[in-house]
This record gives sequence, structure tokens and C-alpha cells, in this order.
Amino acid sequence: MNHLPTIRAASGEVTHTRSEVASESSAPSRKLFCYRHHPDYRYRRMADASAMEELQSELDKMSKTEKEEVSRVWAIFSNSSASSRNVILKGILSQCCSPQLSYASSLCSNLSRVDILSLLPAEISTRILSYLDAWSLCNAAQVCKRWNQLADSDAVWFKMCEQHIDRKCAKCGWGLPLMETERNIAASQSAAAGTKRKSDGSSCSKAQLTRPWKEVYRERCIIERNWRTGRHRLSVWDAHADGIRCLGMTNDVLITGSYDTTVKIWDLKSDTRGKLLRTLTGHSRCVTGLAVSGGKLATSSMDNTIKIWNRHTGACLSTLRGHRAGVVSIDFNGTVVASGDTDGIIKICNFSDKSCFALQAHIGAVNSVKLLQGADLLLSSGDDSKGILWDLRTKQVVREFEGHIAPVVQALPVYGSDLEVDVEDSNGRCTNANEFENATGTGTSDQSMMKMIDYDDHDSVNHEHATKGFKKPNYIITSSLDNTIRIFDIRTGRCVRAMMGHIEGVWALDVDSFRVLSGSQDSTAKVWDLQTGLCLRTFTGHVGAVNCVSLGDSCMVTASDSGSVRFYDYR
Amino acid sequence: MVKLISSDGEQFEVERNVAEQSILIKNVIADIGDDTTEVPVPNVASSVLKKVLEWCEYHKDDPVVAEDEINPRSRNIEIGEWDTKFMQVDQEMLFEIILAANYLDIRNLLEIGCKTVAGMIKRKSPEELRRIFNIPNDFTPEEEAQIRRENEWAEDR
Repeated sequence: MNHLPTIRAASGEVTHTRSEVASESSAPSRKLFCYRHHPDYRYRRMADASAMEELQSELDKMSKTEKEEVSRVWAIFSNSSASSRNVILKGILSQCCSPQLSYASSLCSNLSRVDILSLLPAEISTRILSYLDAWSLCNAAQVCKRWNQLADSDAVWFKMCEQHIDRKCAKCGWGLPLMETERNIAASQSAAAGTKRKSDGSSCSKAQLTRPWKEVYRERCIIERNWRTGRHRLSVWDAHADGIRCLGMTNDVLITGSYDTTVKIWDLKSDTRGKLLRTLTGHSRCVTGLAVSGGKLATSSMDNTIKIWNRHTGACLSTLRGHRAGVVSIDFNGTVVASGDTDGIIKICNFSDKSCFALQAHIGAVNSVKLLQGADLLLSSGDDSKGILWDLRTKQVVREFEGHIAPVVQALPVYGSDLEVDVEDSNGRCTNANEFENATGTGTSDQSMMKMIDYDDHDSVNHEHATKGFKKPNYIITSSLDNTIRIFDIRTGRCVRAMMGHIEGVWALDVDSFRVLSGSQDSTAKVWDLQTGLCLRTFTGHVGAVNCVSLGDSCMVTASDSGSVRFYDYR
Repeated sequence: MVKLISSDGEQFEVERNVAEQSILIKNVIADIGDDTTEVPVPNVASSVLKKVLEWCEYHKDDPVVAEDEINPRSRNIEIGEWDTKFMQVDQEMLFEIILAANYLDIRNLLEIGCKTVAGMIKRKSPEELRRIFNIPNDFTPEEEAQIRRENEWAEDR
């Protein structure tokens, strides 16, 4: 190949473009080279090997004199300075006829393709890649070793995760589950296995899990796709002889409470799923509600009592007998128990300061209670068709949520902020919203204004809580026997959406950052998109009303009046 | 007016607000405190500097991007019509423009350059990408099959 022009000019004589300036400032190693000829980038030029061979074979076809002439022209060119090279090229091109120019132009466009991503500084390449979606990144990772390194880098995938996990990406509309509990388990497991991995920069212990961010994204992306396409594994088992009234799910067990007065704890690990681990007996009537906090379990019953259990041993730790009517709702955060009974009384018992007090505003049964922001606020719902937000420090009602026309069975906080709300929808508008408009318009309803200020005050008061990691809900979601699910703005009390689809009362409700799961008297369960309010899927299979549901990051569970459990695994 | 000297010694005389799209040049002028002097731009060749200044001239009245950089969450790959046309250059020039924008610290131009390259990569198969950027496949067939399997999950969700 010694007749061929030197492609990789390594001498200072052939400097062109910006290399000659380099003598003024940049590192001496660069100064002699045009960047395209820099030894660091040598590997790029391998692409031309086939072109070189083609050139060689064309040359070999020529007569000896022709060959010598051609190689002399090349030699002259390669020994010329950058500026004379340009003059030579200009001269040659001006002698060319149109077809030859066209030929030259096609050669040039081909030859001037450069591997921009590999040549640019890594931080710029990373930035380029961070504009891409997962699919494009995965294609880029298959191009060559250098691209693989760049497109698989943690810097790129961390941004992808940041953009999608536990939030909906504004651009592609995808959000991925947080999977916090699973992450913690995996972290403890990897710590136990002694696996050490590089830290992600936060102040974390050695146990901190640090899988590559691409792997983190991949795992969640597959789960999210399964949610969207409905691909799942279903486990069904008969859990109780009578109807199941309540359930709770942790990462490895399912707990069910039934009309048959027992509480049962079931294994959820994939190989032993549906295996009965323990039966808790002690209540004398229907178990109506349960709440798990750490190793403890609180249950409420129609026998007027609340029991606290050690869920690992099955031992009953204490029995609270404060209610004088059947207890139908409960929440528990480890130190505070909130419970509601059929007489409309809510009781709050604090184990740490031994305080206990009652709240009364609901008329008729209190169907759900939920502690918010530690135990500063409480959300309750009742047979009087209302949801109520309480301040537990002042023991006052902060706001009432009205709009349902039948008992409200569940009320839960919603932490998403990007809901597509539709206040103009006549079905979604409620009296309270109108009142609020009147109040702001005329200033007559001072009480309503005061309530608004109350909640805003909470914002400032709760600033310290925010730093403790309590998220503040933006909306509440309620299900009712009027067949609808409604979403209310927690600040204004205004009903911002009504979700319709169930043809009988909605008993059960759960919600996460992306989805709403509901269970109804009509024997179906439905999954809804939280952001848009559209029903994504309807699940049939239960015989009898779906009394309780629970939504996990990668699974969901429904249980019915007939005593059966259906577990949907989206992994 | 500001006089800029390219790496190959060519002189460019531009309005001050055009040149000051470059944070680097802006700082140099501020340091010198006199905008009549010549500012050398030793890392940028005249052909590239000419192109970059053309961009600066067109965008001289744009609002300045805040110090805390372009919002990393905005993955919007779309760019304006004029900028799209401006970026219709061969890959060599595109590469040089990005390098120059980085060196001169012209944030919007750097962003547009990055988006242009991202647009060339987006939704292309590995084979297409190798062809577009003239990249030899340096994987062994075994490695290639392995990497394809590792990345299968992302295929059209």
C-alpha cells in the first residue's frame, strides 16, 4: 500500500483548520495534528480500510506509467502545506466537468461523516444522549464499544430515572413506579450478601443499593409496560369462609380481615404465594378494618374493640375498648391509632403521650379514617356523604368535601400534582365549589375563607414537617355508594373530577402516583389513570361485591364478599 | 465593535452584543475593560468562527439563558426553523460548531448543536447509526448478540 496517499498525516507540515493555532495555547501533544489526524482518534480511521483496498485494486488495474503518474500526484499533494493543498484542490475542481463534480461531491459527503459522539468531550456526548428516549439509547448502545460505554453510562440513565420515576414525564407521558419498599429489601439483601457497589453520591451506608441506573430503569419500565398492556400472572385463592371485609399488603405478606371474625396472614413470595402463614383470632364479630405499621397490626371490629397485634408472632398486644358502637374504620402509624364507629365518633389514641380524644362531626357511620402528615391531619368519610379534613392539634374541622349523594366509603390522599382537572364538567361540579365561588365573590362566607386560611397556615407550620419527609397531598379521592369516584382539591374543597363506570356502589379504593384501583358491589374491579381519569381496565372474576383492594408498585390485590382473593402480579 | 481573531489569523469585526453571546468573550472584554482591543479566539478556525458569528448575529436580541443552565428536564428535541436550517451542514462542521460553542460558552448554540446530533441518533437502528456516523462495528458476533439481548427490553414499548 505504499503507493497510497497517507491518510493519517502525522506531521506538522499538513496542519490545516485550527491545529496551527494550537501552537499558541493548547497542549503540545495536539499542536502538530489536525484533529482528524490526531493519534488519539486513530481507531476511527479503521472504517476506511475497505476503501483503501478498493483504491489499491483500482490502482493495480492501471499500466505502470499511469500508476507512477497517479502516485506522483498524490505524493505532491500529501507533501504540500495546508494552504497549498486548498489551492491544488480548487484547481483540480475547477478543471472538473459536471459529472466529475457530482462524483466528487458524493465522495465528500460520504467521507465527511464523522463519529461526532465519540470525538466530542464526554460531557457533551452525555448531554446529547440525555435528549434521547430509552429505545434510542438502547440502539445507540449497540453501535460500537465507545457508544456502548457512553449510552449505558450512569449519568445518562440517572437523568432518565430522575425524569420518569414516581412522576409522569411531560414529554412521553410515562411514569415509572418508585418501588421504595422493594428497593429497601434489595438493599438489605445485597448488604447481607456482602455485595459492595459504588455509591450513588448520597450520604449512604455501605448497604446502600447501587445498581446501574439503566438496570433500575429497565426493571421499572418492564413493570410499567405490563401494567399498560395488562400482562400479569394471576393467583386466586379462597381465603375465608365468609366475606373478606378488609385487607392490607406489605411487600411480602397479605393480611385479610373477614366477617368470620378472623384475621389471616398470607405469604406473597412468588413461589409460595397464597400460603396461609398465621390466623389471628380474638375478635368476636366481623373484622372491619386493619392497618399495618412495621411489625404491628391494628384491627377494628364490630365487637366495639380495636386490637393491636404483633404480626410476626400473632400475639395480641392490647385491646382498646373506647368505642361504644361497632368500629368500622381504622388507621395506625405506629404511635397513633385513629378509628371511627357506626355512631359517627372518631377516636384518636396516641400511645407515646397516652392522650386520647374523640371527634364528632359525621352523622352516621364513619367509613374511613386516614392519618396524614405524621398525625397532624386526619381525613375521614362517612354515611353522611361527606369527606372531612381534620386538624388533630386543634381538633377542628379544616374542610368538608361535599358532592357525593350517598355514603362515602373511602377517602384517600392523592399526592400527584399534574391531574387534568375539569371543573367545568357539570357532573364533576359540586355544591361546595359553588359556595366557594360565592364566598370569594361576595365575601359572605367568612367561615369558608377562614378554612382556606387554616390550610394555608398549615403549609407554613408544616414546613418543618416537609423537611422531615412528609409529603403534602394536593387532592383527595373518594369512593361512594352513589357509584362514583370523586377527586376534590384539598385546598378549596372543590370537586374537580367525577369518575364514572361502576354500575353499583364503590366499596374499595386505592391510589398511587399513577393509578386508581376501585372495587364495587357490581363484582368488578377497575384500574383508572390518575392523571386523565380514564378507566384503563376492568377486572371481572369475583363472585359477589369487591369489598377491598390494594395497589402496589408491581402488583394489585382484590378480595370479595365470597371470601376469595385475586392477586395480580405485573412483574 | 469588537475584533475577533480566528485561529488562522483572520479578523472578524462584529458588534459588541453579537460577540457577547459568547460568555467567554464577554468575560474577556469585561476583564480588559476596553472593547477596542483584539480578542484572539485561538481554538476556532475562521470557517467555523464565521458560521458561529452568523448564528450570534441572528440571535443577538435573544434573552440571555440563566446561569443555572438549560433545564435538564426539558428533553424537547425540537428546535426553531432558522436554527434547523442553520444546522444543515456537513457533520464535520456540525462537530466544529459544537466544539466552538462549548469553548466560547454559547449555551443556546451548544444546546441546538446537541439537539441536532440527538435528532440524527433518535429512533435509528444500530446499523443505520453506524452508516450515518461512519462507525466500524468493533463487537465480535458473540458480543453483539449479547448486547442485543441486553437491550431488547426497550424495543417499542
